[in-house]
Amino acid sequence: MNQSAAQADAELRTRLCDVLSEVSQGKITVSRAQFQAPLKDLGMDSVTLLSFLVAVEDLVGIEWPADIPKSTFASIDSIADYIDSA
Amino acid sequence: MTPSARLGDVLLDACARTPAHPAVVAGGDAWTYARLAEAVRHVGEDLRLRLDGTRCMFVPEPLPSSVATLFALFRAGKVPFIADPTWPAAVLLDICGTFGCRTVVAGSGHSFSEPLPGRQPVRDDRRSPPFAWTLPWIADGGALHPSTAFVRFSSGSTGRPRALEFSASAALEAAGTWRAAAAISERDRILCLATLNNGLAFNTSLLSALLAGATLHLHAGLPTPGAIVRNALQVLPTILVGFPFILELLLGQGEKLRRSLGEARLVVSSAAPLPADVATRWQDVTGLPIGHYYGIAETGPVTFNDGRTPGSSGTPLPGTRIRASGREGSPGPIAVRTRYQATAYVDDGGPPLTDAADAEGYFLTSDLGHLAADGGLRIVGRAGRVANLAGNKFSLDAVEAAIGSLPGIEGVHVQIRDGVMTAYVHGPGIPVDAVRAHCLRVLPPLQVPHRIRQVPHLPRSAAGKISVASLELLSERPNRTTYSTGEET
Repeated sequence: MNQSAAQADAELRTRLCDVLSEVSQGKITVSRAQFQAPLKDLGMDSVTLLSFLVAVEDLVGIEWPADIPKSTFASIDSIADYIDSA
Repeated sequence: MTPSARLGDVLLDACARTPAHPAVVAGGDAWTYARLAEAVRHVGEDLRLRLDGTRCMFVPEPLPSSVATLFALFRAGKVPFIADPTWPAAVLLDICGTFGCRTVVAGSGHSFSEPLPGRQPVRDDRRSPPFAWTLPWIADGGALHPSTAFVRFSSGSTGRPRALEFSASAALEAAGTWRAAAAISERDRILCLATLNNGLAFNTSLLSALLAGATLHLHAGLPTPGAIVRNALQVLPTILVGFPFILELLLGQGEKLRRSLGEARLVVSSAAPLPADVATRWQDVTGLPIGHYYGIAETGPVTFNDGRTPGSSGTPLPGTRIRASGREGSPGPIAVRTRYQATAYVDDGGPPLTDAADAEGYFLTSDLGHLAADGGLRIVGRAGRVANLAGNKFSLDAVEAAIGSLPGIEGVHVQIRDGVMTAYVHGPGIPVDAVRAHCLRVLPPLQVPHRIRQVPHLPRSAAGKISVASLELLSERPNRTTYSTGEET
């Protein structure tokens, strides 16, 4: 990965964390060291996840396919990886 | 014939009437009534031979094969305990132990939070066969009420879930009543956004739909508004069933939502009050009102409002009875009785069901309200929300209503803990001292909250109920404004 791609990748993760913090009203804050941490362990519940996914759709202009594996939403890293490959 | 086997047979009779008609559709899989019947017979026979005992924990999924498995369990004479698919494995196993269920049955698509021991495939040549898990360390719970065909769980919102026993007659009576009220026919396409264990889905979309020959569409996959509306655009449902929270999110889809409901004639919600502004916006966007029914887990649906009477929980369904001693402006307790209510609580050491009902079989609900002149039930709050501070009894809902009358206040929740009354207020730009001044103007002094806390929103569960735990977390954030009267001692 070249430098600009790596920078964009890092920015995406940071933006995802910001959105998550916003939709969870500060309940879930993810540090850089926690990008791989299971969001469930950080306090993610089904209602917050739904609000987060809706916000991410708006943020990056994608629509989550209905048959997407649940594992995609396990962590900030897994979500960012999916967006990068979409 | 066992009570549950009767339900299996009734479904097979219904399947025989319209074999080529689509019965259950989800996740790109469409099963006709003939295919559903074949699976019920085939899987049912295997489950009958394979599973010991009568009690069985069933984990539903939004798939045709899962609906078939439920009726296969009936056909096999088992009594399914219909579990919440979101329970983590540890919770599921704990509940299995509490209620003496030595077997768990789930579809191949269900992923437990951790593997359960003893997984065995059920013989079936279809794409999504169910699996059975045997839990040998659990002692079988023994006999249930002789009429019991299945068991549903209460929400557990006030503690551990309780398990309610229902007879086959109750299930058929409830399905027939709802089918008549919603005028369900084989022409209907019902898109249900709730999971099958939930009362909203179970009461409106399962037996009542299948016995009418309608097509039940379940939303498999991600429940984002975009995914739901894409599904709905394909289904073009005639009936949409969903929790208030989901319906509110769908509003963001605007024109697509309107198009997806182009053939809809009924939208049904329940479980939590629908905010008035959501109802209005929904009508503006879709041209349809949102219908509602009122009921409790023990009785099933009691009333129905097809959406044409704003603010009403609806009129009593045939055969249901309501006792409401309150009147407008002075709500009272509500007791209800239906022809299809639960027979018993599965013994878990808690109080028996007879303690919850009076001698005439009326269940005292936790809700407060009155029967209006038009015969409709108006719910205005919860009985458990009657406060008693220093001998002064008053309704917390009345306090909320008073605070909510201040222009700019968008939401209020008032609760009392350890004798301290706290008002959580969502009203952007409204200072707490203005709220306090308003309270002092419109409320008797003893009803003015000790604490007023600004919160950025009122967090709700998926069912739309206020999440008290989240509320407390929100208000613990240091940047939230707090006002205290200093009167708490």
